[in-house]
Amino acid sequence: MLRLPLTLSAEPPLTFLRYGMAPDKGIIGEDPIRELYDGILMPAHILAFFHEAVPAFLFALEKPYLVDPMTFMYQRMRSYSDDWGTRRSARKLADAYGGRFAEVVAEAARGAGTVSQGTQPGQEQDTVELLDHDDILLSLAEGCVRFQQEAVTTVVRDRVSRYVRVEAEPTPLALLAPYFHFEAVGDRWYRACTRMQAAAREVAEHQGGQILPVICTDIACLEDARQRDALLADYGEWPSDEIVLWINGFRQSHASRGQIGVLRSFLNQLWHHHRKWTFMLYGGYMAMLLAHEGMAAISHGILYGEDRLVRRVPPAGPPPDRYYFPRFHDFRPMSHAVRIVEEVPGARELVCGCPTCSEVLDGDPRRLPLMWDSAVLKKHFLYARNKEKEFIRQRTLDDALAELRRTHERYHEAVSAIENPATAMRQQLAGLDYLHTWAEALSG
Amino acid sequence: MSEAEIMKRVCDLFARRGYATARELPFFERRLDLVAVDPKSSRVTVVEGKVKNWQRGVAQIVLAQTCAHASFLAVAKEYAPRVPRDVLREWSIGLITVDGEAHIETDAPRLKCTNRYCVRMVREAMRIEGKCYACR
Repeated sequence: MLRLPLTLSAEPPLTFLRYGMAPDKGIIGEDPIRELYDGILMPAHILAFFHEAVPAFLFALEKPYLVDPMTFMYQRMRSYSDDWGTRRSARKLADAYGGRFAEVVAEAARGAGTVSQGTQPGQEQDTVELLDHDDILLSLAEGCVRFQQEAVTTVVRDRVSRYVRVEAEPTPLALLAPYFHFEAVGDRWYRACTRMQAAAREVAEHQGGQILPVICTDIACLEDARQRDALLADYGEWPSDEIVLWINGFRQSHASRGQIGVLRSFLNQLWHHHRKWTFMLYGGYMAMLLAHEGMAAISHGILYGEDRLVRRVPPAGPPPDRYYFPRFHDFRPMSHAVRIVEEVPGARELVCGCPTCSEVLDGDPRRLPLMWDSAVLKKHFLYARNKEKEFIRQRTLDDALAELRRTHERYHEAVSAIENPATAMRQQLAGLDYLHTWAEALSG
Repeated sequence: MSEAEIMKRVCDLFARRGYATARELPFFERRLDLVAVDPKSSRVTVVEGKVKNWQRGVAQIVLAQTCAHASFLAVAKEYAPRVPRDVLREWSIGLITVDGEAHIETDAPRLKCTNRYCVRMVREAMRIEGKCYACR
């Protein structure tokens, strides 16, 4: 099995696109866009739901891929009518995982649809008691490993090969262990999670493979030195070169200097003491800057998904169309973006020179409204993200931090004024202060 | 008085002056409370209505100004004294007060941040959306 990221011919940070919507297929498979990212992170419930179309797509794409097991979905199933429990894709995935786990989910989902059984909208009921049983956890672990190994290859072998010559079956770059979100080391979910991951590891090792552990927790857990040490003790010796990390709701532009410092320290210890790379689910530019501390790769969607809350079920429909300002390393809604290029001195330097922007803007930032097209905004974002990646690979961290400070100094005041037009407003938006925070947190 | 009542009266004001009007017109990720186009000059005016939360109204207008030549905040007359005129002046926003009828209390200066592509986008949206819903 391939390993992250050493056997890929690129230096970290790598970028994996989280697959979310069918229309993205056309964009991410298009030349030269397909050269702008390193791989695909396929959510397991989408793979289970579109169980023929998605494998065929991955086969045709010929890019490395990973499957996100999405097992956190089953933590709270009897929540409210729009929760995972009632989503058909969650049910389909549970069926694909099979065994005793599928039976348990089917039972829980039947309850989820029946509010009259005592669950009111908005109320939550953990399913941890269901997963306290080792037979269910083992069933989930086995099913999860098998699904990742077979979901794509079986379809390619049995169906796709009828129509095209299959030179090599597309296997995932690595297996990801099933995971639950936990608030603290030692809580009920942590215990269930580690037991389940140990079971998955055994299954994978029995088959001669390797599996990456997934840590899904809150930044508060990492902020507590004792919990951080316990995590390092538990996961530091895991027999893989990488761990996967999801910090629940960790929004890079809202993170404090202390929080970034804690994340940096955690990665640093994983790298220097345990020689482990980190793959961050839901990350952005700030996470990429941590490549110097052992951040091997990040994943995100196109125009969305640089952070995510465990408990929030993503809304249906496309992501909002936003313009990614490469200099700000962040998105702005289009109405903001247009106002910024109209108002901010030096706006010409704010819009990038990627092929998409060059074609549409033709050097005039005032033409930005003409980029109001989902495909155009997505392509621009992918070019911009790739440029950021190349910048980090080719330059030192000091260069990157100096660039953040320059941007903050030059644009913060003007951008902040636009975002806080009514000076009497109590809630003052931060403008570009986050760039300063990143630079401070990552320097030294 | 509700926001819908405020906007209905503001819409009537512009319609009486011969403007073509449209309510809840899409503009990027947002919707504009009222867009009024002067048929003689083709100049576009945007109006955001608020019962009393003028701060939010100002924030919304600032983001809508790129598609207009003039912009107004419309508030219920009883709350108008609370709206700081210096903030409106700073952002080139006129003020409309509404009780039984809508009155332009402070005229709106010509905006300097008008983006012709945004203006074109709004005019096109108006052509598609047609006349004001309230006037049909």
